Amino acid sequence: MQNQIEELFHLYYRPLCVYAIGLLNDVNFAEDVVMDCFVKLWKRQNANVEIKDVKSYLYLMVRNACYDYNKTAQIDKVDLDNLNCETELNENEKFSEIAANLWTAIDTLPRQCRKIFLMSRRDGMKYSEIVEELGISIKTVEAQMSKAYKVLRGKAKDIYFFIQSFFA
Amino acid sequence: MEKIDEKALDFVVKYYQEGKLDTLNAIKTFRHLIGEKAVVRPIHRYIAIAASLLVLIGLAIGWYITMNDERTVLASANDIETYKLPDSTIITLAPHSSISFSYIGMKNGRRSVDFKGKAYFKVKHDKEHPFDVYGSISHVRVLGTVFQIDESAGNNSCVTLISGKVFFGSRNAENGVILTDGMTAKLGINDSVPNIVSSKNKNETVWVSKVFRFDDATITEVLNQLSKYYHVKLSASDKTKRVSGEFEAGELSNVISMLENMLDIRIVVKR
Repeated sequence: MQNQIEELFHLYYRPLCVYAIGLLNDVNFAEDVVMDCFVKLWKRQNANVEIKDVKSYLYLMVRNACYDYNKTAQIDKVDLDNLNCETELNENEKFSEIAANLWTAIDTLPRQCRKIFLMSRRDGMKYSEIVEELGISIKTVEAQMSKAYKVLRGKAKDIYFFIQSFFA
Repeated sequence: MEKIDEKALDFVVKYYQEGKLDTLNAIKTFRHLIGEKAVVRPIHRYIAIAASLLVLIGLAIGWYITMNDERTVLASANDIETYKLPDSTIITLAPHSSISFSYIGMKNGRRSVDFKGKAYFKVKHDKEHPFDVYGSISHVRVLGTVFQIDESAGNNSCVTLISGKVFFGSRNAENGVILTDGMTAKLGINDSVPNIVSSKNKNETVWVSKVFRFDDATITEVLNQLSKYYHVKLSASDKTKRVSGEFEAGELSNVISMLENMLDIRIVVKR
């Protein structure tokens, strides 16, 4: 039972966190909410609650938990026993998986490369500004940026094939 | 085909933090949260080999040992140790604590252990065979539950129930109290019946769960708990803040910076 859950972590933890970040606008809260949902899922499975589609179930749990967290409740909570709102959720699941893969790709970049990439892409700094800030040559910045995009494109490709095989 | 989803990338870089969304870390936290980290220590392998040898050697010797009722002792020195007993009950011993039991008795459904110090029990559910814990002064009987028993103070016995139902009484008397979820009771050395303590403290068992839980606690309360756990003195610049939620009892510096950022305060450490 525990091993099964740990497998679910490997498959869905990151995408679920990304999904929760989208709803909560905060990384730490998102992590808490997702962890909470995994613990709840574990308890339910231990209590022999039958769950047909664990992935959708997890996404809905996270969604409900985030709404609770925000206490906005503008949207009616989804009854977990009646899963039939696949379309909207499918979109979000796909986006979350792609974003989670990009997150992983950024994680795997070498430190310096990641730093330069985030300065450019996140902080909107010009190459010349990065050169000044880090005291490196413009050639290095260019090289690191193209390396970063190459890694990210590689991951994007993985995802494309993943989706292909998924819907095949 | 190898195009990057720009929208997804913008989203990711906006929130990206190094070391966050770490799946392996999350699994670790998860294990702590569900309290499942049973380790079979070498002593068990020894018992297992001994047990299988016994079967081979024959009933006569088995009978001899049963009559002698050899005790197996599991002890923790300076560390927290987790053991799995022959009936699949999981116990976590605080430093300088020990339990002893009859291995053969345990295998045959006589689930009874003697204990010293402080321990956390996750008893394997078995209605037919109650699980008895005898402390120096206390007696706890359970059917299958999670609880903590603390006699490390020396002159009293303190039982905290995490889930389930237990009977808690004095070692030498019939009377006692029944504890249910979240209750704590204390038995003094001269008491005949334990007293139920109303405890708001959700963190009696942090040393096992490695997770602090607070529900609208004052920052002073939180820092007191942390001080006790990490053996340091902590004080906050702003004592008006309140804390709700859970966090892992990891590196003290991480916990402090997390609280500082969350509450926008400064926390000072004195060792």
